[in-house]
Amino acid sequence: MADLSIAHVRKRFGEFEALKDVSLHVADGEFVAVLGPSGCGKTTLLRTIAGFEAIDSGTITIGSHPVSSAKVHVAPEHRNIGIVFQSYALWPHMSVAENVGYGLKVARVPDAERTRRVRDALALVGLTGLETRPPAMLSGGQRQRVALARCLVTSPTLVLLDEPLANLDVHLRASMEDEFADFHKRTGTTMFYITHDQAEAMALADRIVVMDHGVVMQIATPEELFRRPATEMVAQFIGQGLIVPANVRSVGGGRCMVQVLGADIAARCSSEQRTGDGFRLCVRPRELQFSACGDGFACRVTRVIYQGGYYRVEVMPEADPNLRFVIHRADDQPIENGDLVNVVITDGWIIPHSVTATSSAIEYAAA
Amino acid sequence: MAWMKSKSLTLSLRDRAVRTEISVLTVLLVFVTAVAVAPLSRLLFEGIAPSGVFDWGRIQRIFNQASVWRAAVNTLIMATGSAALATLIGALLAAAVAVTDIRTKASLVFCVILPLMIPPQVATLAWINLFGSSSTLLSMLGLAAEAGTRHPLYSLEGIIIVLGLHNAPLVFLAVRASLRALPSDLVEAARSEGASPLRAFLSIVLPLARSGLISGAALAFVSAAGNFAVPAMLGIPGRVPTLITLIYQRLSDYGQEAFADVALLSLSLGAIAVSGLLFQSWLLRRRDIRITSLTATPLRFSLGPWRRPTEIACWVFALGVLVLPLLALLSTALVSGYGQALTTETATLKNFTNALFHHTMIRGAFMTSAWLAAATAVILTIVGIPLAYFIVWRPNSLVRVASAVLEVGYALPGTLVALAAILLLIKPIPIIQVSLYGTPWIILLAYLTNRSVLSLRPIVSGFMQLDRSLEEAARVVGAGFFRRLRDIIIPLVAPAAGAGAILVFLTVLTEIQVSVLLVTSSTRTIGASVYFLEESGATTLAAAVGVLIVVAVFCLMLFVSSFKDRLPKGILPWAE
Repeated sequence: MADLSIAHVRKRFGEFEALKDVSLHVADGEFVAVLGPSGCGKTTLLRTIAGFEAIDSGTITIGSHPVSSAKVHVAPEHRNIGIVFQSYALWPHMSVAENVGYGLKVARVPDAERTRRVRDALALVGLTGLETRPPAMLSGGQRQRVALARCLVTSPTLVLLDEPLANLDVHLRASMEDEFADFHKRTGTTMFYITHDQAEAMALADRIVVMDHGVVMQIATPEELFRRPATEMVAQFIGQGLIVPANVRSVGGGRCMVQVLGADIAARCSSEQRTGDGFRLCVRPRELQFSACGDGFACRVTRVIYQGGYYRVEVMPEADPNLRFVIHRADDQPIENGDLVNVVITDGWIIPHSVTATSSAIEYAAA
Repeated sequence: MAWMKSKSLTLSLRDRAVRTEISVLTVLLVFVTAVAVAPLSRLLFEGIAPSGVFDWGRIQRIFNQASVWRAAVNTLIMATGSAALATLIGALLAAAVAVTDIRTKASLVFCVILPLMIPPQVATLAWINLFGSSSTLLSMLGLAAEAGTRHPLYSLEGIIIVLGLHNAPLVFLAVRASLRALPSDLVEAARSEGASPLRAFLSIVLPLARSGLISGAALAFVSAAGNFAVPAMLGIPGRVPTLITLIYQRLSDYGQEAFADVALLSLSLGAIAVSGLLFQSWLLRRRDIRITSLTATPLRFSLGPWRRPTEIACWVFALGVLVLPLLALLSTALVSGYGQALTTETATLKNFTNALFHHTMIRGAFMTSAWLAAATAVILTIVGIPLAYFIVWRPNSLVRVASAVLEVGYALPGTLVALAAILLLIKPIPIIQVSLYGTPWIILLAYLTNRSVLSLRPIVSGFMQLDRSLEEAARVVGAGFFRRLRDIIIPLVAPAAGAGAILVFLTVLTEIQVSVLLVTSSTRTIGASVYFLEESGATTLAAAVGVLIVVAVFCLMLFVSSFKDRLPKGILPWAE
């Protein structure tokens, strides 16, 4: 077992900068998920930790061993890590037991001990009795479990998982998610999990690293990430956050009064928040409501989609035709395209680092 | 060196794992330098600047000779004409086999590919025997031409037809491969938009099969330009000079004195061959059409009432091209004197017993060819697996250059490669003071230069079909380079490597292009022996050796086919 430290790591492929000054720390025994859209650099990050890619600058340390820097590059075979690949990468010419036991064979573990450890690992993932099967005769979920057993049998200090559920169908995914979580609890292995699926990351991880364009956007617990996104990108990527320009009128104790589209509302903010114009407010669909008594701001309904039990209603504020809000509405209150409604914002979160947001907000106001 | 500049490699020199890989890479690059870079650059040097200085006047003098001009023009006509014929035949047969519902495909494919595996000198001998005035087969039917008339195949047209038929399977394979990759839903989509089957074929299948057509045609062109046996056996008696026969005749007439001139002629022949490949990549450069469909359902057009006629046409053609000339060859091999009719009185097995038991030269040639073919296949497989590993998974500029040089060694006519080997080894090797000239070793070197791609290509495609994470998974659990090679990589690419080795063995065993310049009275190959026997007038004996070669090739193909179920699909060219 060991922790993982990544400090100021940069990696380019020719002109393309895949990782720009990435720093993060994974504590011993922690389950950290890296979440981001495709092309955000999360797979590159995994491959540099594994040692498949050398880094241009910065350091990667596993336990107390520096494994990657501009001067050091420990080969993947000497890093004592485990990886579960997206494709599982089971060797088709070996049986289940041979797949799981290969790492022990390479490490010259005596036959008797190897057999015992393979048996234990297969029991742990619930595959006892399938030792002699070739991988081709396993189901998707079983292959996933063999890959997991194979990566754990050598007791790696760190386990990297590269979108391990991406190739499974939906119902299998949910049950494998539970198994990963149980598994992490039982073994206490440090796990570093790459995914583009936020539900998966939220369900599994102690903390989530959100990446975009090779930059770490935020590292936080799932709750924190959802309630207090650090940047606009995080706010939009997690939980369908809507971004609205807001002027902060007064602050105090993590709460503030803001002016949004001409209406005054109460919102949450960081304790360092100051008053001023040109901030950005993150609003979730559930923080928007139709108002019956005429407060809030006027909106025009632009689209109504029935989603079973409720309508997904898209509205355009009359004050700003460039914005769109999504509000859910119970299906016993029908609504039509073109209806004029009043919408109130019941809560929201002022995005703290709005330096760039300020200038765009000004441009926005000018337009 | 270029790769030393690469930061990741210099820094990781400290790592044991990377050091192993760099040592392996170095050995591979030394091999490529020895078998390809050294002989080919020696030839280039000899052709362009034999005395160390570039002399434009000399080059002009050589190309101003009328005989050289005629030979060059004939070579171009021969290569273009036969490539066109091969493309027409190969594409039609491939379309019939790959996308229609005709029956008996497996045996049809075997019969269509078999001419490719029959060495060209044997095939040419068979065609000569079929149509000549002394044709045993035709005289039995009373159809033989009048004695004394010129042989119809001893002409440029004859060369084009025989070469075109011989190279048609190359186009067939390329087109079939690209048609096979076509999923049925592309055509179903066109049909649902209202296109008729024919329309769908013309507007969807044909454009997508374009890459197969072009590369097949280019292969046929290059293969024809470098073919020795056909222009030598038909063109020399027919007085149709081509570059390759000119090279051969000048070398046998003038020996070492002709080296510089012949090297230059070889370079121009090489330029013709390479220009065919450049033209191909220019044609294919335009568009990158990747098929993105996920369905694996193969494409099938139902021919309806046309199925039976199509089947008959395919079989008549396949048998006409394969069986008739082979029957002619067999009938010649069964008579004691060339031109005799085959009757119960004249039939004899004397030629076969002579070839098998009494003729020490033939037996020796067979043994030499067998061990050379085996050695070439084994060496190229051993080198090919790690080389393909670097080409596919660890490419760097040096590996790319190495693989490009090997491609050149393959694209260049075998005769030219043989000349390069002669030029490199005619003087004793420094330090050890041993000359390899006149020994089988020089033939082995030329085979390694000329055939490495034949073994490398299937291995490379084997690697490309592998999920890279299979190897990475082994790295992660601690397996070093050689360990991964042994436990993971070799078992996974073994079928592809085996298929490559078989192709090398089969083609080297009977080849003539490379060895015809390298054989001596004491070291002969079986492929060249057929030509020399025919040239010296021992036609019936040559026919017997030819029949034996065909039987041997046929048996080897059947033997390999018996393992078909254990090999991945598409590895054996002749299997459907």
